[in-house]
Formats: sequence, C-alpha cells, structure tokens
Amino acid sequence: MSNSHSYNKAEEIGTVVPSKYTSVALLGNPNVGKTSLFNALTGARQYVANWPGVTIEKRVGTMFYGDRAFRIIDLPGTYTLGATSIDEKVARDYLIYESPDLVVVVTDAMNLERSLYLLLQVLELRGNVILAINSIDEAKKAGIKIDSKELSKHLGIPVVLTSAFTGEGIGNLKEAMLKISRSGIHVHYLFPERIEKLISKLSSSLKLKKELENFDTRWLSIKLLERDEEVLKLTGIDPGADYSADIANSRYEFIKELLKDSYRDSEKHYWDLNTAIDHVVTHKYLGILVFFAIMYLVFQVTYSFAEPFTTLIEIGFNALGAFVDKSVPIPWLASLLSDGVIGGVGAVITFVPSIFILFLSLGILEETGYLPRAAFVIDRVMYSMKLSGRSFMSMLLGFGCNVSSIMSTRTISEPQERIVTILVSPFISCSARLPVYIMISSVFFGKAAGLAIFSLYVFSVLFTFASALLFNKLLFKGKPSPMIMELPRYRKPTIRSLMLYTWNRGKHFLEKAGTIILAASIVIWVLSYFPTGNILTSFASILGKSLEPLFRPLGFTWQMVTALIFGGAAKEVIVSSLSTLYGASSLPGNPGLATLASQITPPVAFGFLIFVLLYFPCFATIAAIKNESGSWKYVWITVLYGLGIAYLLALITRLIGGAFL
Amino acid sequence: MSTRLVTILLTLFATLMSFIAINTIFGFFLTIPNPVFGVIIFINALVYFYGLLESRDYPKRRKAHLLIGSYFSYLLALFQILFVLAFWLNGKIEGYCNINLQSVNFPLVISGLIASFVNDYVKKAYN
Repeated sequence: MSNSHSYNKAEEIGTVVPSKYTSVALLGNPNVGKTSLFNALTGARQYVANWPGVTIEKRVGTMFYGDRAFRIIDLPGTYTLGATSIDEKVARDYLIYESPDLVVVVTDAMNLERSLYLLLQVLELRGNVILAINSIDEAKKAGIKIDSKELSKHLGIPVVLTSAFTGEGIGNLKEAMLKISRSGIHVHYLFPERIEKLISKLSSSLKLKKELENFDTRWLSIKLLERDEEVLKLTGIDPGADYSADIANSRYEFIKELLKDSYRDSEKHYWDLNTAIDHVVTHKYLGILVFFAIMYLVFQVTYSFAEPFTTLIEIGFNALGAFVDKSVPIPWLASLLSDGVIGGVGAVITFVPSIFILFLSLGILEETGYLPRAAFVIDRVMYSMKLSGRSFMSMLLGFGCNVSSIMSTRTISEPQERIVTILVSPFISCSARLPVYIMISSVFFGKAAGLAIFSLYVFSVLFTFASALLFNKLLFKGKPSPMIMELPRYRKPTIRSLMLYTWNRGKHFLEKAGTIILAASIVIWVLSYFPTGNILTSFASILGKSLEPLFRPLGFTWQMVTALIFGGAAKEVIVSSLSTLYGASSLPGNPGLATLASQITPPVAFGFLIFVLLYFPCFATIAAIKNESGSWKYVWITVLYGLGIAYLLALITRLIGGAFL
Repeated sequence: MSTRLVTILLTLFATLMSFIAINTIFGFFLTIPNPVFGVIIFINALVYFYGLLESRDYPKRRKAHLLIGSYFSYLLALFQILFVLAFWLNGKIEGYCNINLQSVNFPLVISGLIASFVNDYVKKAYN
C-alpha cells in the first residue's frame, strides 16, 4: 500500500457511512487464491486449501478503505460463466441477479492464458471490472514477467499484480477498487465481424422484449449464439446454429494477441520441481502405490504419535474423577459427576490428540497440493465405477467429517454422479469413528491396533467404491462426467495455515464434546442409574436387552447394543456409552471395561468395528443427505442399505474370524 | 549431476531399500518383524526401480525418481524415529521401558539419513 493512501483503521471507520456499502465480487478459476485475497482484504480467517473447489458457497466480509465501506463477496471458483455445476451456478447467478458494484477477476500469474478466458466472459457481461493477477511472487520465482501496464492498456481496465501470500500489491488493489467505485468503467472487446453481425441482429430482437430490460442484451445474444440452455429458455429465442466453438476460438485469439506484448514465460518453468514430483506421484501404477503408502503412514501416525498424549489425558481424567468421587458427599451426585460427566466426556476427550494429529496430517497433504494428485491417480479406478476423481476428492473430505464430504459434492456437475457420491459418502470413515476404533483395538489387538485401524480405513474406501458401483448399476445407467481438473502447484505449508486447518476441523470435535456428548453422557448415566441404582436392572439394560437377541448372531453384548443406539446422535457417543456401561465404578452391576475382552472374541470386536463403520450415519449426516439430495428416498436408501450390510458383514467377520482364531 | 551418477544412485538405493524391506518383513537383523511396514518400504524401493526403467534419453525423468525416492526414504526414517520416540514416551508415562535395539530398525534410519543428503544434492539441481 502506498503511504499517501494509507489510512489508520480508526480514521477509516470514522469516515464510513455503513448503510452505503460498495459490493465487490471476487471471481476467478478454482484455486487461484480468491479466498487468500478475501482474507487479505477483509482480515478474515477463512480456511484456504491448495486444491480446487474449496469455496462452494459465497462468503461475505467487509473492508474499509478511503471514504468507502466495501462488502467483499468471495464466490466459488468457476472456469466459465456457463453454469454446469452448482458452484458455478452460484457464481454466475450472483453476477447476473445481484449485480455487484465491482467485480475483481482473480487470475493466476502462473496460468494467465487460461485464467483470462473467464475475464473476457465477465467483460461481455458487465462493466466495473478489475483484473487481479495473483501469485505474482511465485511467477517471479519461475522467471515469468508480466507487464501490467501493457495489459491494462489493451483491456481498458485496471490490472493489479498481487500476492495474497506476501501481501504484495494488496494496497494497489484497494486503491483500484476505490477509484473504480467512484468513476465506473465499461469496455467491450469485439468478436470477428461475422459474429458481431449476429450479435447485433439478436440484440435488436431482444431489446423489444420488455421482460428482458434488466439484462445486458449483448451478453444474452452471445449466450444465445453459444446455445446456453438457461438463456435459450429465458429468452424463448432459438438462433439455430451453434457458434460456441467460433466464439471460444475468437476469445483465445484475443488472449493470444493480448499476451504477445505483456507476458514472458521462462524456459525453466517447463521442467521444474513441480513437474519432477508430478512425474513420479501421478505415475499410472506407482502413483497408486505411493498414495497407499502415504495413507498408511497417516493412520499409523494418528494412532502411534497420539498415544503418549492420550495416556496423559486419561491419567488426568481418572485423577479428576477420583477427586470428585471423594469430594462430593451425595453418592448419586458423585456418581453422576465422576462416571456420567467426567467418565463419559473424558472417554471421548482422551482421543482429541488422535483427531488433531489426523487433521494435521490431512492438512499437510492438502496444503502441499498432494490431495488433488491422489484424486488424479485414482480417477482411472473411479471411472470403472462410473465416478470421477472429483467424487474421490469429496470422499477424501469424509475422513474428516461426512457432512463436509456431502456438501462438497456441489462441485460435481453430473447429477447422478453427485447423488451416488452423496449416498456412499457416509461409508467413508469419519474422524468421529476413530475414538471407537482406538478404544476397541487397543483392548483386543494390542500392538497390531494401528494395523487394525488402517485396515478399517482401507475397508471403508473399498466398500465405498463397491457401493458406488452397485448404486450406479441399480439406480442409474449413465456414464461419469470426465474429470478436468487443474493440478495446483506444490507449496510448502506454513505453520499458521496448518494450525488454522487443524484447529478449524478439530474444534468441532471439542464443541461436540461440550454439547452432544455431554448431554448424551448425562442421559446414558440417568438411564444406567434409574430406576434401581443398579446397571443390570436399569432402563439402559432394559433397552439393550430387548434388542440384544437381534444382535446375538453377531455376538454383541447388551451394553454394545445400547451404545450403538446412542451412537446415532454422534459416533463418539459410542465411546462414552461403553465407558459408562462398562467402566462406571460407582454403579453396582457394571462389569468393568477389562471384562469386555473376556465377554467377546477379537473377531466379534472387529465385526463390531465394521458395524460401527457402516450402520446408519449420525443425525447431522442424515440431514445433509436430505438437504443435498432433496429427497427422503435417498436418506432411506443410505440408512437401510447401511444397516443391512453392516449386519451381514459383522456376521461374516465373526464366522470367518471364528474359523481361524 | 551426471546421468551416470543418477543411475548409480538409483541402482544403489533400489537394492538397499529392497533389502531393508525384506529385513523389515521378516525381522532378520536389528528390527522386529513388521510385514505391512516392510511393504511400504518396498514401495519406496519401487520408486527407484521405476527410475531405472526410464529411458536414458530423458535424464530429468530419472532424476525425478531419485528426488522423490530419496525424499520418501528420508520420510520413512523420520517416521521410524518419531514412532520409537512416541513408544518410549508412552512407556515412560506408564512407568515401564519397552524400547530395545530391535525396535529401532537401524538399517532404515541410517539409509534415510544418507538419502536426506542425496535429496539435498538432487534438489539443488532444480534451484
């Protein structure tokens, strides 16, 4: 920011009229750094990932500069203004129907040619556009030279070189926004004469339609020539032939001419460190093996590195429980606090280090830019299941939380592929299931616990793929949409962004511990204590024992059945339920957690873990399925299919495991 | 960095990591048997082997395999050290010592250390 235009925040706020916001839309291709720029402009702390499709809904923030207040809107990434997927539609509809005062088209300095295509489409639609060429720091390192003044001269709009990472050019961008908000600017570039004649002919007929007076007729004409389905429907005019290829070609010709004098690439850019890494990690066969190895290391790290911290927390909660037990004179209250609240919530909190380490590992993979490569190498496998690598990226998010996985399917343009991904996403093992795996595996599998957990994750992925294939065969008969995905450059993750990522994801676990899990722990204690004060004759026992015959073929005890029922609220509740039903020391009739190992065999324990993995999803996931699919039918399919297959596979695990062990 | 040197290093590390993989699977020398981790080490050996399969006309491709392979070896050694540390720390908290010479997998750790120097050397070619 130049000194002459610097303002301190107090002055800025003082001169602002809050009711008069200038709305600014940030638009650009996926993964060009829109959210980073949004954070740099507004001071927000939205999570930024090194892969496309992170922003699936628009985000709003405010910025004060000069005598103006700006409302900044971060739109989902889009390659074109032809709405093919939900996130692209969000961006396009915003520009057309909300009509922001300014549009900042964010482009990537490393891929300027492709990024400019979107800019031209925006210029066809409206005025007051600024071009921000982001990641200029990386371009400089790669030896790329961009002449912003030359570009600005040819385009007729302000062009600013920025780096949201280093902060370079952010002040200039703010200044450009202020200038345009005061003056306004509208430019058009011309297509070849043949196309221009058609545009002008169509524009004349569109101007006669009163219902279209709020639309730019030139833009509508171009879209009609491209045979945009929505515009065809809106105008009711059919121009006959499809000119989309001619229009696209003339846009690329224009870009080529534009960059001739203003963009200099460097030769070293063609085989750099990125290309070298990609040569190996996106290899047809080796890429899949490397991905498998990385995922194994991630889950081993999650289990093994967290162990000392888990032990420390466990010791702390045990001491706290014992202290409360001794200090509170009323026996039932002491039991509620030590066994219900501290025992129940503590059993879940114990696994916080594992959850945070898992997110930190996934964060490193995301931040470095490896995850899109994983989607790329797995795309071939996915295609045989009539899915694309884009579905796989949604599924990968499911390792954190199934809800975000289901939400991210908005980036999938093919409706049936999207529905199938929504239906199978709950089978990806989310972080809430991890505490259950660790608890049961450490009791039954000792040193092989890490391997048992990894095998559950591998099984979860394989089962998800198999289910996708099945749903595709039974429900749909279509082909997957081909995956066209830009692989982002590798980046060294910063400590700050990793901490932000880990905290943003992990804090939900802590929030749940303080809300749902706390409430569920109290309910479970009440059901275990009343009416007799003995677990064996409690309401929980009546509930579990009434359903236990159904689960007898699987070898589950009534305590396990009760825990599964409460697990519907959140999967972590299974841990707190088992902890109370088995480990509540002050409740008569409880057998103690160690006795679980003598009650059931390791195959039954593994079957239980498979059941936990596959049976119906938590309530939040069910709500997300309903919202995103728009139909209860799909909720029922997921729930009934999951329950049925969980039962069957837990039974098979018990039978096969029993035969060998 | 000459193509000849790259080829020698690829051959050396491919052989070394294959031996370490077999050693880890069966637990012959200075390690406890760990079949799955042995397979992961073998995947690392495959990164080097695939480098040898690249044509001599494209030295940059061979170099890429050496770069990623050495980085992977370094990562595996780091993982092993942290794994042993976590194991030791947990034993300390619970009041017992469960670390011995076998659990460290010294061959892997030492080869990872050597690989880190190779990685630094190859990376310089890209800067």
